[in-house]
Amino acid sequence: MEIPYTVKARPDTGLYNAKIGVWLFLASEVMLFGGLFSAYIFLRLAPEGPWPVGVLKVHWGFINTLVLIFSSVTVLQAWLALKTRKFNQFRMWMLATLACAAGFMGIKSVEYSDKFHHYGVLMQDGSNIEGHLVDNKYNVTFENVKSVSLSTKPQESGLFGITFGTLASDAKFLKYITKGEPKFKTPAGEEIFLDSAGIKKLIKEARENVEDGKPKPLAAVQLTALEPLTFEVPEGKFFDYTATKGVFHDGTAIDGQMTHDTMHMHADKIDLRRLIPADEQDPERAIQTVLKADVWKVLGDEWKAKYHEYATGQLKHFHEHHPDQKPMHSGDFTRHTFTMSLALGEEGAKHAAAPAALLDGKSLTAAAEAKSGEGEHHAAGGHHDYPEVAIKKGDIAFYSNFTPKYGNYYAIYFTLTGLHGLHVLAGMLVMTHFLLFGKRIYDKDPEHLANRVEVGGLFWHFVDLVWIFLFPLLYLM
Amino acid sequence: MAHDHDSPEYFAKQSKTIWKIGGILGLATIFTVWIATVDLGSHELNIGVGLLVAIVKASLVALIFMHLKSEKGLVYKVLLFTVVFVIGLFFLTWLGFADPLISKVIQNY
Repeated sequence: MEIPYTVKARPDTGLYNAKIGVWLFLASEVMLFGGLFSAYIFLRLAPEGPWPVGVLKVHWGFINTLVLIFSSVTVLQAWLALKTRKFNQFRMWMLATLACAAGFMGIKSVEYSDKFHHYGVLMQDGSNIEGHLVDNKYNVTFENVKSVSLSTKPQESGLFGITFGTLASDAKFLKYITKGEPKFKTPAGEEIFLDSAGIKKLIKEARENVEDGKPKPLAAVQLTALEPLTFEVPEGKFFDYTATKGVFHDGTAIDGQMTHDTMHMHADKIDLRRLIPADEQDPERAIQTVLKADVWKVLGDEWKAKYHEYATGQLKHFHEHHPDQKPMHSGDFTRHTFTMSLALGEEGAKHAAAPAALLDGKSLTAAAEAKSGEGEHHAAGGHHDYPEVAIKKGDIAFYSNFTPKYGNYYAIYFTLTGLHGLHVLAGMLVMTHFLLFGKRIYDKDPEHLANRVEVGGLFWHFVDLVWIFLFPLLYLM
Repeated sequence: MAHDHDSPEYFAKQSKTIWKIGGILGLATIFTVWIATVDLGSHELNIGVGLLVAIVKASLVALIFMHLKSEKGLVYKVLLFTVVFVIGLFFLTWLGFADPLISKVIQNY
Protein backbone atom coordinates (compact mmCIF):
# COMPACT_ATOMS: atom_id res chain seq x y z
CA MET A 1 0.00 0.00 0.00
CA GLU A 2 1.25 3.42 -0.92
CA ILE A 3 1.27 5.87 1.97
CA PRO A 4 -0.31 9.07 0.71
CA TYR A 5 1.20 12.54 0.91
CA THR A 6 4.75 11.59 1.89
CA VAL A 7 6.15 14.08 -0.59
CA LYS A 8 3.39 16.40 -1.72
CA ALA A 9 1.38 18.45 0.73
CA ARG A 10 -2.14 17.36 1.50
CA PRO A 11 -4.38 20.00 -0.04
CA ASP A 12 -6.52 20.61 3.05
CA THR A 13 -3.68 20.86 5.59
CA GLY A 14 -1.02 22.31 3.35
CA LEU A 15 1.51 19.90 4.88
CA TYR A 16 2.85 16.48 4.04
CA ASN A 17 1.47 13.92 6.50
CA ALA A 18 4.67 13.09 8.38
CA LYS A 19 5.04 16.70 9.40
CA ILE A 20 1.63 16.81 11.05
CA GLY A 21 2.48 13.51 12.68
CA VAL A 22 5.74 14.74 14.16
CA TRP A 23 4.21 17.99 15.39
CA LEU A 24 1.44 16.09 17.16
CA PHE A 25 4.11 13.89 18.73
CA LEU A 26 6.21 16.89 19.74
CA ALA A 27 3.11 18.52 21.23
CA SER A 28 2.72 15.56 23.57
CA GLU A 29 6.46 15.61 24.29
CA VAL A 30 6.27 19.25 25.34
CA MET A 31 3.56 18.33 27.84
CA LEU A 32 5.59 15.37 29.15
CA PHE A 33 8.70 17.44 29.76
CA GLY A 34 6.59 20.39 30.87
CA GLY A 35 5.10 18.27 33.63
CA LEU A 36 8.56 17.15 34.73
CA PHE A 37 9.94 20.69 34.70
CA SER A 38 6.96 21.69 36.77
CA ALA A 39 7.80 18.90 39.22
CA TYR A 40 11.39 20.15 39.34
CA ILE A 41 10.30 23.67 40.21
CA PHE A 42 8.02 22.39 42.95
CA LEU A 43 10.75 20.23 44.47
CA ARG A 44 13.20 23.11 44.26
CA LEU A 45 10.86 25.62 45.93
CA ALA A 46 9.65 23.24 48.64
CA PRO A 47 12.68 21.02 49.23
CA GLU A 48 12.57 18.11 51.68
CA GLY A 49 15.97 19.18 52.95
CA PRO A 50 19.03 21.17 51.94
CA TRP A 51 19.07 21.38 48.15
CA PRO A 52 22.39 20.56 46.56
CA VAL A 53 23.60 23.49 44.49
CA GLY A 54 26.58 23.43 42.20
CA VAL A 55 27.17 19.70 42.50
CA LEU A 56 27.36 19.09 38.75
CA LYS A 57 30.53 19.89 36.85
CA VAL A 58 29.67 22.90 34.71
CA HIS A 59 32.26 22.19 32.04
CA TRP A 60 30.61 18.88 31.11
CA GLY A 61 27.18 20.48 30.77
CA PHE A 62 28.68 23.38 28.85
CA ILE A 63 30.47 21.13 26.36
CA ASN A 64 27.33 19.02 25.93
CA THR A 65 25.25 22.14 25.23
CA LEU A 66 27.66 23.20 22.48
CA VAL A 67 27.74 19.66 21.09
CA LEU A 68 23.94 19.55 20.82
CA ILE A 69 23.73 23.01 19.25
CA PHE A 70 26.35 22.02 16.70
CA SER A 71 24.46 18.81 15.95
CA SER A 72 21.29 20.83 15.39
CA VAL A 73 23.17 22.80 12.76
CA THR A 74 24.60 19.69 11.10
CA VAL A 75 21.25 17.90 10.90
CA LEU A 76 19.85 20.94 9.08
CA GLN A 77 22.85 20.97 6.76
CA ALA A 78 22.13 17.30 6.00
CA TRP A 79 18.58 18.24 5.07
CA LEU A 80 19.73 21.14 2.88
CA ALA A 81 22.21 18.81 1.15
CA LEU A 82 19.30 16.56 0.20
CA LYS A 83 17.26 19.54 -0.96
CA THR A 84 20.10 20.46 -3.31
CA ARG A 85 20.58 16.78 -4.27
CA LYS A 86 24.07 16.31 -2.84
CA PHE A 87 23.82 12.85 -1.36
CA ASN A 88 27.46 12.52 -0.30
CA GLN A 89 27.27 15.78 1.60
CA PHE A 90 24.11 14.56 3.25
CA ARG A 91 25.94 11.46 4.43
CA MET A 92 28.81 13.53 5.81
CA TRP A 93 26.53 15.87 7.80
CA MET A 94 24.46 12.97 9.08
CA LEU A 95 27.61 11.24 10.26
CA ALA A 96 28.71 14.45 12.01
CA THR A 97 25.33 14.64 13.75
CA LEU A 98 25.61 11.03 14.90
CA ALA A 99 29.14 11.65 16.16
CA CYS A 100 27.85 14.60 18.21
CA ALA A 101 25.06 12.49 19.67
CA ALA A 102 27.52 9.75 20.58
CA GLY A 103 29.82 12.35 22.16
CA PHE A 104 26.92 13.69 24.19
CA MET A 105 26.09 10.22 25.49
CA GLY A 106 29.75 9.55 26.24
CA ILE A 107 30.00 12.65 28.41
CA LYS A 108 26.68 11.76 30.03
CA SER A 109 27.95 8.32 31.00
CA VAL A 110 31.09 9.83 32.54
CA GLU A 111 28.86 12.11 34.59
CA TYR A 112 26.56 9.28 35.65
CA SER A 113 29.49 7.07 36.61
CA ASP A 114 30.84 9.92 38.77
CA LYS A 115 27.51 10.03 40.60
CA PHE A 116 27.42 6.28 41.18
CA HIS A 117 30.85 6.42 42.86
CA HIS A 118 30.13 9.46 44.99
CA TYR A 119 28.60 8.81 48.42
CA GLY A 120 26.81 10.85 51.01
CA VAL A 121 26.32 10.04 54.68
CA LEU A 122 23.61 11.48 56.87
CA MET A 123 24.77 11.23 60.46
CA GLN A 124 22.45 10.64 63.40
CA ASP A 125 22.32 14.34 64.33
CA GLY A 126 21.63 15.52 60.77
CA SER A 127 25.20 16.36 59.73
CA ASN A 128 25.87 15.47 56.15
CA ILE A 129 29.26 14.43 54.83
CA GLU A 130 30.02 13.49 51.24
CA GLY A 131 32.94 11.88 49.47
CA HIS A 132 34.38 8.78 47.83
CA LEU A 133 34.72 5.46 49.62
CA VAL A 134 38.32 4.40 50.11
CA ASP A 135 39.05 1.71 47.51
CA ASN A 136 35.42 2.08 46.43
CA LYS A 137 34.11 -0.19 49.14
CA TYR A 138 32.42 -0.26 52.51
CA ASN A 139 32.80 -3.76 53.93
CA VAL A 140 31.68 -5.42 57.11
CA THR A 141 34.05 -8.07 58.44
CA PHE A 142 32.91 -11.19 60.27
CA GLU A 143 35.64 -13.33 61.75
CA ASN A 144 35.61 -16.74 63.37
CA VAL A 145 32.46 -17.78 61.51
CA LYS A 146 31.77 -21.35 62.59
CA SER A 147 28.28 -21.96 61.31
CA VAL A 148 26.13 -21.00 58.36
CA SER A 149 22.39 -21.37 58.08
CA LEU A 150 20.84 -21.79 54.63
CA SER A 151 17.29 -20.59 54.17
CA THR A 152 14.95 -23.00 52.40
CA LYS A 153 11.84 -20.83 52.21
CA PRO A 154 9.27 -22.94 50.38
CA GLN A 155 8.35 -22.07 46.84
CA GLU A 156 5.58 -19.51 46.87
CA SER A 157 3.73 -18.36 43.84
CA GLY A 158 3.55 -14.59 43.65
CA LEU A 159 1.25 -12.42 41.60
CA PHE A 160 -0.12 -14.27 38.54
CA GLY A 161 2.35 -17.07 39.16
CA ILE A 162 5.34 -14.75 38.91
CA THR A 163 7.61 -14.89 41.94
CA PHE A 164 9.53 -11.86 43.12
CA GLY A 165 12.86 -11.88 44.90
CA THR A 166 14.99 -14.76 46.02
CA LEU A 167 13.10 -17.48 47.81
CA ALA A 168 16.00 -19.43 49.25
CA SER A 169 19.74 -19.18 49.81
CA ASP A 170 21.93 -18.91 46.76
CA ALA A 171 25.68 -19.30 46.47
CA LYS A 172 26.55 -15.59 46.31
CA PHE A 173 27.64 -15.38 49.94
CA LEU A 174 30.47 -17.81 49.25
CA LYS A 175 32.40 -15.20 47.28
CA TYR A 176 32.75 -12.98 50.37
CA ILE A 177 34.89 -15.56 52.17
CA THR A 178 38.37 -14.05 52.43
CA LYS A 179 40.00 -16.59 54.73
CA GLY A 180 39.37 -20.31 54.92
CA GLU A 181 37.80 -22.91 52.62
CA PRO A 182 34.02 -23.33 52.33
CA LYS A 183 34.14 -26.87 53.77
CA PHE A 184 31.19 -27.74 55.95
CA LYS A 185 29.63 -30.58 57.86
CA THR A 186 25.98 -31.18 56.95
CA PRO A 187 23.28 -32.04 59.55
CA ALA A 188 23.62 -35.65 58.37
CA GLY A 189 27.29 -35.58 59.36
CA GLU A 190 28.62 -35.55 55.81
CA GLU A 191 31.66 -33.36 55.03
CA ILE A 192 31.26 -31.33 51.84
CA PHE A 193 32.95 -28.58 49.83
CA LEU A 194 30.08 -26.11 49.39
CA ASP A 195 29.26 -24.68 45.98
CA SER A 196 26.17 -23.59 44.07
CA ALA A 197 25.10 -27.11 43.12
CA GLY A 198 25.67 -28.34 46.67
CA ILE A 199 23.47 -25.59 48.08
CA LYS A 200 20.67 -26.41 45.65
CA LYS A 201 20.88 -30.08 46.59
CA LEU A 202 20.79 -29.37 50.35
CA ILE A 203 17.78 -27.08 49.97
CA LYS A 204 15.94 -29.62 47.84
CA GLU A 205 16.56 -32.33 50.44
CA ALA A 206 15.40 -30.04 53.28
CA ARG A 207 12.19 -29.27 51.41
CA GLU A 208 11.50 -32.93 50.83
CA ASN A 209 12.35 -33.90 54.40
CA VAL A 210 10.24 -36.71 55.80
CA GLU A 211 9.76 -37.37 59.48
CA ASP A 212 7.80 -40.33 60.83
CA GLY A 213 6.54 -41.01 57.34
CA LYS A 214 5.06 -37.52 57.01
CA PRO A 215 6.47 -34.71 54.84
CA LYS A 216 8.02 -32.10 57.14
CA PRO A 217 10.04 -29.47 55.22
CA LEU A 218 12.85 -27.80 57.15
CA ALA A 219 13.03 -23.98 57.27
CA ALA A 220 16.82 -23.94 57.39
CA VAL A 221 19.86 -26.13 56.91
CA GLN A 222 22.49 -25.74 59.62
CA LEU A 223 26.04 -26.21 58.38
CA THR A 224 29.12 -26.31 60.58
CA ALA A 225 32.38 -24.96 59.20
CA LEU A 226 35.32 -27.35 59.43
CA GLU A 227 37.65 -24.38 60.06
CA PRO A 228 36.73 -20.85 61.23
CA LEU A 229 36.00 -18.59 58.24
CA THR A 230 36.43 -14.85 57.66
CA PHE A 231 33.84 -12.95 55.62
CA GLU A 232 34.22 -9.47 54.17
CA VAL A 233 30.80 -8.41 52.97
CA PRO A 234 29.74 -5.16 51.30
CA GLU A 235 27.45 -3.49 53.85
CA GLY A 236 24.52 -3.29 51.47
CA LYS A 237 24.50 -7.06 50.93
CA PHE A 238 23.32 -7.63 54.48
CA PHE A 239 19.65 -7.50 55.30
CA ASP A 240 20.71 -6.91 58.90
CA TYR A 241 23.54 -7.77 61.21
CA THR A 242 24.46 -7.73 64.89
CA ALA A 243 27.76 -8.20 66.71
CA THR A 244 27.47 -11.96 66.32
CA LYS A 245 25.14 -12.65 63.43
CA GLY A 246 24.80 -11.48 59.83
CA VAL A 247 21.72 -12.12 57.69
CA PHE A 248 21.84 -11.71 53.91
CA HIS A 249 18.89 -10.60 51.79
CA ASP A 250 18.27 -14.17 50.64
CA GLY A 251 17.92 -15.39 54.23
CA THR A 252 21.36 -16.97 54.58
CA ALA A 253 22.77 -16.33 58.06
CA ILE A 254 26.34 -16.50 59.34
CA ASP A 255 27.38 -16.76 63.00
CA GLY A 256 30.67 -15.26 64.10
CA GLN A 257 32.22 -12.08 65.48
CA MET A 258 31.67 -8.83 63.65
CA THR A 259 35.06 -7.13 63.91
CA HIS A 260 34.85 -4.19 61.53
CA ASP A 261 32.03 -2.04 60.16
CA THR A 262 33.58 1.42 59.91
CA MET A 263 33.18 3.40 56.71
CA HIS A 264 36.38 4.92 55.30
CA MET A 265 35.88 7.86 53.04
CA HIS A 266 37.80 10.62 51.30
CA ALA A 267 35.42 13.33 52.42
CA ASP A 268 35.04 16.26 50.06
CA LYS A 269 32.15 18.25 51.49
CA ILE A 270 30.08 18.83 54.60
CA ASP A 271 26.56 20.24 54.76
CA LEU A 272 25.28 21.21 58.20
CA ARG A 273 22.11 23.05 57.22
CA ARG A 274 19.84 20.35 58.65
CA LEU A 275 21.10 21.14 62.16
CA ILE A 276 19.78 24.68 62.17
CA PRO A 277 16.22 25.19 63.46
CA ALA A 278 13.88 26.61 60.81
CA ASP A 279 13.13 29.72 62.86
CA GLU A 280 16.76 30.51 63.77
CA GLN A 281 17.35 34.24 63.24
CA ASP A 282 20.77 34.67 64.84
CA PRO A 283 23.65 33.64 62.55
CA GLU A 284 26.20 33.62 65.41
CA ARG A 285 24.05 31.18 67.36
CA ALA A 286 23.54 29.07 64.23
CA ILE A 287 27.31 28.81 63.80
CA GLN A 288 27.64 27.79 67.47
CA THR A 289 24.96 25.14 66.87
CA VAL A 290 26.75 23.53 63.96
CA LEU A 291 30.07 23.62 65.85
CA LYS A 292 28.52 20.95 68.09
CA ALA A 293 27.77 18.68 65.12
CA ASP A 294 28.67 14.99 65.06
CA VAL A 295 30.71 15.61 61.97
CA TRP A 296 33.58 17.10 64.01
CA LYS A 297 33.96 13.79 65.86
CA VAL A 298 34.87 12.43 62.46
CA LEU A 299 36.86 15.32 61.01
CA GLY A 300 38.68 16.38 64.16
CA ASP A 301 39.38 19.67 65.89
CA GLU A 302 41.68 21.04 63.21
CA TRP A 303 38.86 21.05 60.68
CA LYS A 304 36.44 22.36 63.27
CA ALA A 305 38.71 25.37 63.84
CA LYS A 306 39.05 25.88 60.08
CA TYR A 307 35.31 25.77 59.72
CA HIS A 308 34.77 28.23 62.56
CA GLU A 309 37.10 30.70 60.89
CA TYR A 310 35.50 30.06 57.50
CA ALA A 311 31.93 30.58 58.74
CA THR A 312 32.84 33.72 60.67
CA GLY A 313 34.53 35.03 57.53
CA GLN A 314 31.38 34.34 55.52
CA LEU A 315 29.25 36.21 58.03
CA LYS A 316 31.58 39.20 58.02
CA HIS A 317 31.62 39.17 54.22
CA PHE A 318 27.83 39.08 54.10
CA HIS A 319 27.45 41.98 56.55
CA GLU A 320 29.89 44.06 54.51
CA HIS A 321 28.21 43.40 51.16
CA HIS A 322 24.57 43.25 52.20
CA PRO A 323 24.32 45.54 55.24
CA ASP A 324 20.53 45.85 54.89
CA GLN A 325 19.76 42.11 54.63
CA LYS A 326 19.19 39.49 57.31
CA PRO A 327 21.72 36.69 56.85
CA MET A 328 19.46 33.87 58.00
CA HIS A 329 16.83 34.94 55.42
CA SER A 330 19.31 34.61 52.59
CA GLY A 331 19.51 31.23 50.89
CA ASP A 332 22.88 32.27 49.51
CA PHE A 333 24.24 32.94 52.97
CA THR A 334 23.08 29.69 54.56
CA ARG A 335 24.18 27.72 51.51
CA HIS A 336 27.70 29.13 51.68
CA THR A 337 28.12 29.35 55.43
CA PHE A 338 26.79 26.01 56.60
CA THR A 339 28.40 23.94 53.89
CA MET A 340 32.12 23.71 53.26
CA SER A 341 34.38 22.07 50.73
CA LEU A 342 37.05 19.91 52.33
CA ALA A 343 39.43 20.14 49.40
CA LEU A 344 43.06 20.39 50.44
CA GLY A 345 45.86 22.51 49.06
CA GLU A 346 45.37 24.50 45.86
CA GLU A 347 42.03 22.86 45.10
CA GLY A 348 40.80 23.97 48.49
CA ALA A 349 41.84 27.55 48.00
CA LYS A 350 40.01 27.54 44.69
CA HIS A 351 36.83 25.87 45.93
CA ALA A 352 36.25 27.50 49.24
CA ALA A 353 35.05 31.05 49.05
CA ALA A 354 37.02 31.62 52.26
CA PRO A 355 40.10 33.83 52.21
CA ALA A 356 42.95 31.69 50.95
CA ALA A 357 44.93 32.33 54.13
CA LEU A 358 42.37 30.33 56.07
CA LEU A 359 43.32 27.15 54.36
CA ASP A 360 46.77 26.25 55.48
CA GLY A 361 47.01 23.84 52.56
CA LYS A 362 50.42 22.39 53.30
CA SER A 363 49.91 21.17 56.82
CA LEU A 364 46.51 19.68 55.99
CA THR A 365 47.79 17.90 52.90
CA ALA A 366 50.59 16.41 54.94
CA ALA A 367 48.14 15.35 57.62
CA ALA A 368 45.86 13.71 55.09
CA GLU A 369 48.71 11.83 53.47
CA ALA A 370 49.96 10.61 56.81
CA LYS A 371 46.42 9.43 57.57
CA SER A 372 45.72 7.73 54.28
CA GLY A 373 49.12 6.07 54.38
CA GLU A 374 49.73 4.39 51.05
CA GLY A 375 49.35 7.29 48.66
CA GLU A 376 49.68 5.10 45.59
CA HIS A 377 46.37 3.43 46.44
CA HIS A 378 44.44 6.56 45.70
CA ALA A 379 46.65 8.14 43.10
CA ALA A 380 44.37 6.97 40.29
CA GLY A 381 41.25 8.64 41.61
CA GLY A 382 43.00 11.74 42.86
CA HIS A 383 40.83 11.55 45.97
CA HIS A 384 43.83 12.05 48.24
CA ASP A 385 43.24 15.77 47.72
CA TYR A 386 40.64 15.22 50.41
CA PRO A 387 41.01 14.12 54.02
CA GLU A 388 40.36 10.47 54.79
CA VAL A 389 37.83 10.00 57.54
CA ALA A 390 36.47 6.98 59.40
CA ILE A 391 32.77 6.99 60.22
CA LYS A 392 31.43 4.50 62.75
CA LYS A 393 28.38 2.52 61.68
CA GLY A 394 26.52 3.68 64.78
CA ASP A 395 26.87 7.32 63.71
CA ILE A 396 25.36 6.70 60.29
CA ALA A 397 21.62 7.27 59.99
CA PHE A 398 21.57 6.77 56.24
CA TYR A 399 24.07 6.54 53.43
CA SER A 400 23.83 6.14 49.70
CA ASN A 401 25.64 6.89 46.50
CA PHE A 402 24.26 9.76 44.42
CA THR A 403 21.26 7.90 43.03
CA PRO A 404 17.55 8.77 43.29
CA LYS A 405 17.26 7.31 46.78
CA TYR A 406 19.81 9.86 48.07
CA GLY A 407 17.19 12.57 47.76
CA ASN A 408 14.74 14.46 45.60
CA TYR A 409 17.46 16.38 43.80
CA TYR A 410 19.02 13.24 42.38
CA ALA A 411 15.59 11.71 41.77
CA ILE A 412 14.52 14.58 39.52
CA TYR A 413 18.04 14.92 38.08
CA PHE A 414 18.08 11.32 36.90
CA THR A 415 14.46 11.44 35.72
CA LEU A 416 15.00 14.55 33.61
CA THR A 417 18.45 13.77 32.22
CA GLY A 418 17.68 10.06 31.88
CA LEU A 419 14.55 10.70 29.86
CA HIS A 420 16.44 13.26 27.80
CA GLY A 421 19.24 10.72 27.25
CA LEU A 422 16.70 8.17 26.01
CA HIS A 423 15.53 10.76 23.49
CA VAL A 424 19.09 11.23 22.31
CA LEU A 425 19.38 7.46 21.84
CA ALA A 426 16.08 7.38 19.93
CA GLY A 427 17.32 10.20 17.69
CA MET A 428 20.52 8.26 17.06
CA LEU A 429 18.50 5.21 15.99
CA VAL A 430 16.47 7.25 13.52
CA MET A 431 19.52 8.98 12.07
CA THR A 432 21.45 5.72 11.77
CA HIS A 433 18.50 4.41 9.79
CA PHE A 434 18.65 7.42 7.44
CA LEU A 435 22.37 6.93 7.03
CA LEU A 436 22.22 3.20 6.28
CA PHE A 437 18.99 2.90 4.30
CA GLY A 438 18.54 6.43 2.99
CA LYS A 439 20.02 5.61 -0.40
CA ARG A 440 17.10 3.37 -1.32
CA ILE A 441 14.54 6.07 -0.68
CA TYR A 442 16.76 8.71 -2.26
CA ASP A 443 17.05 6.78 -5.51
CA LYS A 444 13.28 6.40 -5.68
CA ASP A 445 12.43 9.99 -4.74
CA PRO A 446 15.02 12.31 -3.19
CA GLU A 447 12.30 14.63 -1.91
CA HIS A 448 10.83 11.78 0.16
CA LEU A 449 14.12 11.28 1.99
CA ALA A 450 14.50 15.04 2.41
CA ASN A 451 11.09 15.17 4.09
CA ARG A 452 11.90 12.28 6.38
CA VAL A 453 15.17 13.91 7.40
CA GLU A 454 13.35 17.18 8.01
CA VAL A 455 10.91 15.42 10.33
CA GLY A 456 13.71 13.57 12.11
CA GLY A 457 15.49 16.90 12.40
CA LEU A 458 12.43 18.48 14.03
CA PHE A 459 12.59 15.79 16.72
CA TRP A 460 16.33 16.36 17.10
CA HIS A 461 15.84 20.13 17.57
CA PHE A 462 13.30 19.39 20.25
CA VAL A 463 15.88 17.27 22.10
CA ASP A 464 18.26 20.23 21.84
CA LEU A 465 15.53 22.58 23.04
CA VAL A 466 14.91 20.52 26.20
CA TRP A 467 18.63 20.54 26.96
CA ILE A 468 18.75 24.33 26.55
CA PHE A 469 16.51 24.50 29.65
CA LEU A 470 18.06 21.55 31.49
CA PHE A 471 21.60 22.92 31.37
CA PRO A 472 21.10 26.19 33.26
CA LEU A 473 18.45 24.70 35.56
CA LEU A 474 20.52 21.74 36.76
CA TYR A 475 24.09 22.95 36.37
CA LEU A 476 23.98 26.64 37.11
CA MET A 477 21.13 27.39 39.52
CA MET B 1 12.05 38.03 -2.42
CA ALA B 2 12.49 34.50 -1.15
CA HIS B 3 9.34 33.20 -2.71
CA ASP B 4 11.11 30.57 -4.71
CA HIS B 5 11.57 28.01 -1.93
CA ASP B 6 13.25 25.49 -4.20
CA SER B 7 16.07 27.45 -5.78
CA PRO B 8 19.70 26.61 -4.93
CA GLU B 9 20.23 30.27 -3.99
CA TYR B 10 17.49 30.03 -1.39
CA PHE B 11 19.05 26.94 0.17
CA ALA B 12 22.51 28.49 0.16
CA LYS B 13 21.09 31.46 2.03
CA GLN B 14 19.33 29.11 4.46
CA SER B 15 22.59 27.31 5.13
CA LYS B 16 24.28 30.60 6.04
CA THR B 17 21.42 31.61 8.34
CA ILE B 18 21.63 28.27 10.12
CA TRP B 19 25.36 28.65 10.79
CA LYS B 20 24.77 32.18 12.03
CA ILE B 21 22.03 31.10 14.44
CA GLY B 22 24.21 28.21 15.61
CA GLY B 23 26.96 30.73 16.39
CA ILE B 24 24.55 32.98 18.28
CA LEU B 25 23.33 29.99 20.33
CA GLY B 26 26.92 29.11 21.19
CA LEU B 27 27.68 32.67 22.30
CA ALA B 28 24.46 32.75 24.33
CA THR B 29 25.61 29.55 26.08
CA ILE B 30 28.91 31.18 27.01
CA PHE B 31 26.97 34.19 28.28
CA THR B 32 24.73 31.91 30.41
CA VAL B 33 27.74 30.29 32.06
CA TRP B 34 29.43 33.65 32.63
CA ILE B 35 26.39 35.43 34.08
CA ALA B 36 25.84 32.55 36.55
CA THR B 37 29.20 33.41 38.16
CA VAL B 38 28.38 37.11 38.49
CA ASP B 39 26.75 38.29 41.71
CA LEU B 40 23.71 40.21 40.52
CA GLY B 41 22.64 40.97 44.07
CA SER B 42 20.34 38.04 44.63
CA HIS B 43 20.26 34.41 43.59
CA GLU B 44 16.71 34.89 42.28
CA LEU B 45 17.89 37.53 39.81
CA ASN B 46 20.60 35.18 38.55
CA ILE B 47 17.99 32.47 38.02
CA GLY B 48 15.72 34.93 36.22
CA VAL B 49 18.43 36.09 33.83
CA GLY B 50 19.56 32.51 33.21
CA LEU B 51 16.03 31.42 32.32
CA LEU B 52 15.49 34.49 30.14
CA VAL B 53 18.56 33.62 28.06
CA ALA B 54 17.33 30.01 27.86
CA ILE B 55 13.94 31.22 26.59
CA VAL B 56 15.59 33.37 23.93
CA LYS B 57 17.76 30.42 22.86
CA ALA B 58 14.78 28.07 22.77
CA SER B 59 12.81 30.59 20.70
CA LEU B 60 15.63 30.80 18.17
CA VAL B 61 15.71 27.01 17.86
CA ALA B 62 11.93 26.81 17.48
CA LEU B 63 11.52 29.75 15.10
CA ILE B 64 14.53 29.24 12.83
CA PHE B 65 15.71 25.62 13.18
CA MET B 66 12.19 24.20 13.40
CA HIS B 67 10.83 26.66 10.81
CA LEU B 68 8.07 27.84 13.14
CA LYS B 69 8.69 31.34 11.78
CA SER B 70 6.74 30.37 8.70
CA GLU B 71 4.70 27.24 9.22
CA LYS B 72 1.19 26.27 8.17
CA GLY B 73 -1.77 27.18 10.35
CA LEU B 74 -2.52 23.65 11.51
CA VAL B 75 0.83 23.36 13.30
CA TYR B 76 0.12 26.54 15.27
CA LYS B 77 -3.32 25.23 16.22
CA VAL B 78 -1.77 22.00 17.56
CA LEU B 79 0.81 23.97 19.51
CA LEU B 80 -1.81 26.29 20.95
CA PHE B 81 -3.37 23.30 22.73
CA THR B 82 0.04 22.27 24.03
CA VAL B 83 0.75 25.70 25.45
CA VAL B 84 -2.60 25.75 27.23
CA PHE B 85 -1.99 22.30 28.74
CA VAL B 86 1.57 23.06 29.79
CA ILE B 87 0.43 26.21 31.58
CA GLY B 88 -2.27 24.06 33.19
CA LEU B 89 0.35 21.54 34.37
CA PHE B 90 2.46 24.28 35.91
CA PHE B 91 -0.63 25.74 37.54
CA LEU B 92 -1.58 22.40 39.10
CA THR B 93 1.84 22.13 40.71
CA TRP B 94 1.59 25.72 41.84
CA LEU B 95 -1.62 24.83 43.66
CA GLY B 96 0.51 22.67 45.95
CA PHE B 97 1.77 25.83 47.64
CA ALA B 98 -1.79 26.68 48.65
CA ASP B 99 -1.70 23.53 50.79
CA PRO B 100 -1.15 24.76 54.35
CA LEU B 101 0.79 21.60 55.22
CA ILE B 102 3.29 22.18 52.45
CA SER B 103 3.63 25.93 52.79
CA LYS B 104 4.28 25.51 56.51
CA VAL B 105 7.31 23.28 56.14
CA ILE B 106 9.04 25.20 53.34
CA GLN B 107 12.51 26.27 54.42
CA ASN B 108 14.82 28.69 52.77
CA TYR B 109 17.38 26.25 51.40
